[in-house]
Amino acid sequence: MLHYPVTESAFPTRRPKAFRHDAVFYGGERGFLAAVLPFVSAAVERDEPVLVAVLPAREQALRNELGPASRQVEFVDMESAGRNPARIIPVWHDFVSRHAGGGKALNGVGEPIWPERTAPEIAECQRHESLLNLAFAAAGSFSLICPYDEAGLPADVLAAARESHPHVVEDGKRHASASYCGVDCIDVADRRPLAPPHEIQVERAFDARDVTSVRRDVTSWAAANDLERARADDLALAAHEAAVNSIRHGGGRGALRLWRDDDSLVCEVADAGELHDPLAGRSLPAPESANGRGLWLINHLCDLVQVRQTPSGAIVRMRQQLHRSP
Amino acid sequence: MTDEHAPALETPAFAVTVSDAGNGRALVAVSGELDIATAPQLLAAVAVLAPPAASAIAIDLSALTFIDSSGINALRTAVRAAGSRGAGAIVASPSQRVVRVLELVRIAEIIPIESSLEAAFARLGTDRLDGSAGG
Repeated sequence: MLHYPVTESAFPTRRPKAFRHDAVFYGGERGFLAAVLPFVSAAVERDEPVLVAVLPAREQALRNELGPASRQVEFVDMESAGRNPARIIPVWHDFVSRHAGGGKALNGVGEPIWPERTAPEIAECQRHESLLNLAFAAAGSFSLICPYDEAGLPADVLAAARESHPHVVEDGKRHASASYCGVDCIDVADRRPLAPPHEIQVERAFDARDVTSVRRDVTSWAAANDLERARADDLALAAHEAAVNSIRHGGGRGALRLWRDDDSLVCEVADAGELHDPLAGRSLPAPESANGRGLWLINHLCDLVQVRQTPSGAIVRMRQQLHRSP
Repeated sequence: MTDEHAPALETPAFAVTVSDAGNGRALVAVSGELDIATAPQLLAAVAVLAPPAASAIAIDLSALTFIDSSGINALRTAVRAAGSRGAGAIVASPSQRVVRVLELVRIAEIIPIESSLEAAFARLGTDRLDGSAGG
């Protein structure tokens, strides 16, 4: 089956005063339009804010169908804004706070996963989908639908969408997801081991005395591996921030490992620390706060960031793709 | 670059110079790398500035090559502390590399910032900067 006719009844006009987070299954571009267009059009007709974060080709298809009504829709290029999936929740935070106090229900379409995503990217997208339930639990009237392309995505990715979304829409009908595991699966995902590194090129320990040399080691290693200068600087700052976190919160010391993985450079900082807030680094602290900007910076400096809790401590694994246009 | 013969203890290149710009204005020029290791030097330099000799303080970042979240927090602390002593303080003219980092943390929501020293002193002359967020 390639195409579900989703009727508007799947999206009731009376908005609940709560966060709604639905996975919507579709097949191909025609299926995408059938699944998403009624949701967006209904929001526009009710004169409510609606933000659509999808790939550029999907945006174009929606704009073509919406015509002049597309001027009432905010679009975000998910390929660039969501390259690191940890940067997607900030997009929704900004959308919600921009319209806070407007007294209107908010509507969003977010498609973080597409077939070309790499395995570690998909793992972080799935973590992001689970964290949405936590991040916007108190957001009030905000309906977010997440389209999943059944024609292009593997079965395990589709099954995971049922675990991270309280409701699913399929065959035009919306129902509670039987396999939704709530915020419980966040903790499980945070403890899932990461793939073992390839051949490690640099490995060293650091503590408070030599933490500032961590970024120099990353810079020279990245240059030797032909990473562009500006992106190497970004990775070096990210590694430095992770190392400083180890000094402050991870027992005062840590270990740095650097390796190359296909077309990416990977930089990992491990320490004896414990992760407390699964949403750390996905919102900026208040302007008067002294702390909380390190992980935010890391998330915005790297193509992909994976934070995990292991029996021996915390891991921050940062990736920068080689030969990528900025 | 790391010198393999260097001892483990490492201090990044950093300097802070305070000069009198006249009319109660002080210029704090920061150069090199402002990070967890060097941030205390900036705080110490700004801590002694107060009216009437220093009623308007511009922290010049044009020669700064690196900043981390500790450095950003030092700027925030320095500006607020100056405000509590009755001085206005503002951050000015960061280089392109430093701007990128400052923008990522939305610096204008944290401390007042201007792209040039002239604009910084102009704003200090007209605004009542009290160390709270400007912009």
